[in-house]
Amino acid sequence: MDAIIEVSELHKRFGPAVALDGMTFTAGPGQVTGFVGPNGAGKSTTMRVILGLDRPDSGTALVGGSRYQDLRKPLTRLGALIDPGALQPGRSGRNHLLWLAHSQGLPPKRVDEVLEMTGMRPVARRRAGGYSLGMRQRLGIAAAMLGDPPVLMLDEPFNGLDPEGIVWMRGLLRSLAAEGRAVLVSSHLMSELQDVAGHVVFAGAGKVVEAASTVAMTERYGSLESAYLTLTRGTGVLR
Amino acid sequence: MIRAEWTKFRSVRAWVAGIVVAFAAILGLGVAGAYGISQDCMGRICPAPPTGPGGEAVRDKFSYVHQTLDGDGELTAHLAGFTGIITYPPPNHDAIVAGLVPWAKAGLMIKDGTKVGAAYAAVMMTGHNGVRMQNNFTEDRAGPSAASWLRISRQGDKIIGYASSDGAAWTPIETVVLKNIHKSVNIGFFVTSPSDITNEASPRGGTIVQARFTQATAVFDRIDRTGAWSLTKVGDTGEQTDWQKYHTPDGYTESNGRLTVTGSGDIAPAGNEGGPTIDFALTGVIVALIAVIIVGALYITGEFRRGLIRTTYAAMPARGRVLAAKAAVLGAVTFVPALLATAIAVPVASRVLRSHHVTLLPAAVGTQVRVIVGAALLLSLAAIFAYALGAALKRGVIAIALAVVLVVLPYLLATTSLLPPGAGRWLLRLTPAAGFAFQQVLPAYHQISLPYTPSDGYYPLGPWAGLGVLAAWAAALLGLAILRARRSDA
Amino acid sequence: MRAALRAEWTKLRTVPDAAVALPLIALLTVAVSVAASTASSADVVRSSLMGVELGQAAVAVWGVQILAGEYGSGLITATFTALPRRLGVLAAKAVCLLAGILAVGVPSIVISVLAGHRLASAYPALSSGAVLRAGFGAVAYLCLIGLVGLGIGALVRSAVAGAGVVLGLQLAPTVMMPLLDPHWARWVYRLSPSTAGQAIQSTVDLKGLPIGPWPGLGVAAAWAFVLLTLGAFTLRTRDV
Repeated sequence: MDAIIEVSELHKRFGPAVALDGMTFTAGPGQVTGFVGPNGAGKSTTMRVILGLDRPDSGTALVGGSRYQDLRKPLTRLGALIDPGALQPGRSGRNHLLWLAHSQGLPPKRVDEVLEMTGMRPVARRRAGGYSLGMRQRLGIAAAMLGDPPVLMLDEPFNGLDPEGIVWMRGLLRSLAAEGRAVLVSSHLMSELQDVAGHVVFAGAGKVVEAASTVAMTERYGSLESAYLTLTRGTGVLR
Repeated sequence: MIRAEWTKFRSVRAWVAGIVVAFAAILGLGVAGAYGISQDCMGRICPAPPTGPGGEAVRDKFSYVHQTLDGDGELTAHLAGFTGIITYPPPNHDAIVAGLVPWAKAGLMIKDGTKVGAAYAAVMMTGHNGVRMQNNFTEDRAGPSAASWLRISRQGDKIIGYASSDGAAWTPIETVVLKNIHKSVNIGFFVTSPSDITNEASPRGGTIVQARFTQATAVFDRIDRTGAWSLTKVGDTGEQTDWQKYHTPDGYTESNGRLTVTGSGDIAPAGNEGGPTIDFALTGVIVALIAVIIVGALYITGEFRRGLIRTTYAAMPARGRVLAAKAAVLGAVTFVPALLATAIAVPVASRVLRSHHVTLLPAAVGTQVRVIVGAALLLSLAAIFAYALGAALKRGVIAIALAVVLVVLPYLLATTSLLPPGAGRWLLRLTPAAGFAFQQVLPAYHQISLPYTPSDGYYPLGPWAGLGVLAAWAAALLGLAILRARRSDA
Repeated sequence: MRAALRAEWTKLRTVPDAAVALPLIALLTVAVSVAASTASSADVVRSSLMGVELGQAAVAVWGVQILAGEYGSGLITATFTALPRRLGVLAAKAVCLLAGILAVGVPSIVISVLAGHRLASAYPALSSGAVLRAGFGAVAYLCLIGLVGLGIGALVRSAVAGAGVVLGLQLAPTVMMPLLDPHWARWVYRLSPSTAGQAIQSTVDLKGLPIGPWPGLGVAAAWAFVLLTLGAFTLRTRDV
């Protein structure tokens, strides 16, 4: 049971603002789980808690049954794309992946494999500071794939991609799920998830509003777009 | 979104905190520093230094051979001899040698009573600086260099000094006015000789100032006034060196119309050896300076870091105006709290000192205001300097390192004598550290042989000129930043 | 830990800034030292190590930058995602920092001392205890100041603010001392990391120093230890 993310009863406040208010869901193997909700619903905070970057006030987030902080070579268990801008501008994309590989005891050969896979090879030796948003997204995907993990977690992976990139991303997500991995994808672009996600988790105000398979959701509301509008009405308060 | 707002709030809070730290440091360290200063003179409270007619602290110690002058009159005499001794001068420090220090003085003086600090005017020969006319401690004019005849004359409150090389052709040097002097004053001969001063670098940093006893003797003849002369050792404390005890005491002898007068001491404004000045209340300024430099650098690099500057420029496309406006805001938010803090710290710290019976050298109200405003200007200009550096380089860490190194390090190197004084003075002229010149409370006088090094609190530039240098640096970098902002992509 | 070390080392050697900055720091340190050695001085050994005044600022800022700089770029997210054991990351960064300081500092100090020996008159023998202590002490001091910077960086989490704080910590006490009562000034000398830490470089009039060479280095070590401990605590307890 490696390929699973289990989030249960997460609570977290930032000062007076409630970010997570009992967030609970599971992203299982072999499918793409869409993680949807308006800004401020707690999607990014949940992902940061899963990665051990933020500490929840209560509740647990487990990756393959363990807390992320307890994983040895965590990138071989969970690959994440959280903040594609998180690069040192002076370092080349390849060297960025190289230190990540070294941190997991992975061979440099693996760096070239993921560069090839994400189509970043031609620009891999340029300074990351000069990358476009699309290139940064691809580099982030490469970093997530570095450890060939059974679980992937991508925050807004379609941001900044050109139409060709969007098609590529969709295909990638589908094939990753087809290989039996658990893939958690947050997005506010419903149309992308319509084609890709097998399961959708709607978040609002720090908790799950509804979670169901895409098929069930589409039957009930007509489309994911209208499901989104119906379910998030009244919760889309910007805080 | 919450996170972004939180981060924004925190970053703003951070620079508000920086200003608060600056404010607290000026006040807290200034007052705490005052509590730390103690002063005692052989277990007793130190006497206040004497002050001259202008209110400044003075040294007034000399041998005065005088008679009463009622109303107008004059005194003429020929200086037949002027010699002296210097005890144990370098390099060998092993002998008492014959010689005069540059500002040894012998001549004629009219003084409004023999009390220390009383108004006076005098015409004199000096050790190495020719004939001079001086009055009321701070004033000094040069006369002819090769004269041996001196004359001093009073007309009401006007005193006129003359010099002559032959006793026939007289050159007036200057007419000075001694306000409100009594009708009956003293007129006569005086001799004094200040300490021989050298300073050398200490192995622990700082300089060791050495002052060696000197004494001068002058012989006057062809004196045109008759009547009895009497001696007053003005400012004499009764303490005597071995030379005065066993060899030649200060005083005078008279024979055949020749007067031989011997004296030591000085008639001049006091330097900072007289006690602390109000600049001790600025102990906290350096901490505040670091704090506002951090605030200044953060203020701009925060914008560049996450592309906030693009939003700013999108909202306000006149980039030069945006950068200048930000500088103005920064200047204001640093200047006002700093001014408030120094305006409280200086008087409070002075009061603390007075309650501890520590004597502060008097400073004119204008000087105090200048120090208070100057400190606030230094902080505000330094913040703008750091900000402009950050905007020009677009690299926060390098900007802040450079800002601290350019503002603080030259000051440190110059004032702790890690460098020779000459190099230190150039640093304080050219680098942004010139702004520290506002701290100088006591003016430097050319008629005193003191080293006047930056480590003694004397700066090569005037207070406003020094702050001007810092302002020029800030303006130049701001210009560079604006140029760069206009030319390059955000 | 091995993996963390390798990762940090790769990071360190793949930023072009470091490749330019480190030799430059070494060059400036030696240049200042050599310049100081040509002037007359009461303590020729300490003068020949004058470059440390400049080197320490660079080293401290580097110590701040190596961790706090990652907060600025957001890279810290990637670092703690790859290596969730944050204290391991801190330790790996400390080791890399020390290695870097030694790589730059040892040659700089050795050249400075050799130059001082050639240029200054009455320089003690190179093998004398005083010269060895001062030279070793200078390197040790640089290492400690680097760790102080790292600790402050972990506490402040902003490279700009951290650099300002660490430079202020180095320079402000020295600036304040002449304004203070001599008794207080001696205590400031004893307690501030830069003045106490650099006592190790003195070879003349040791009795007259407010603090001895070795206790002085101990004060600097205490600063490094306390700040690193506080920094480690902050890293562990706070959200990234």
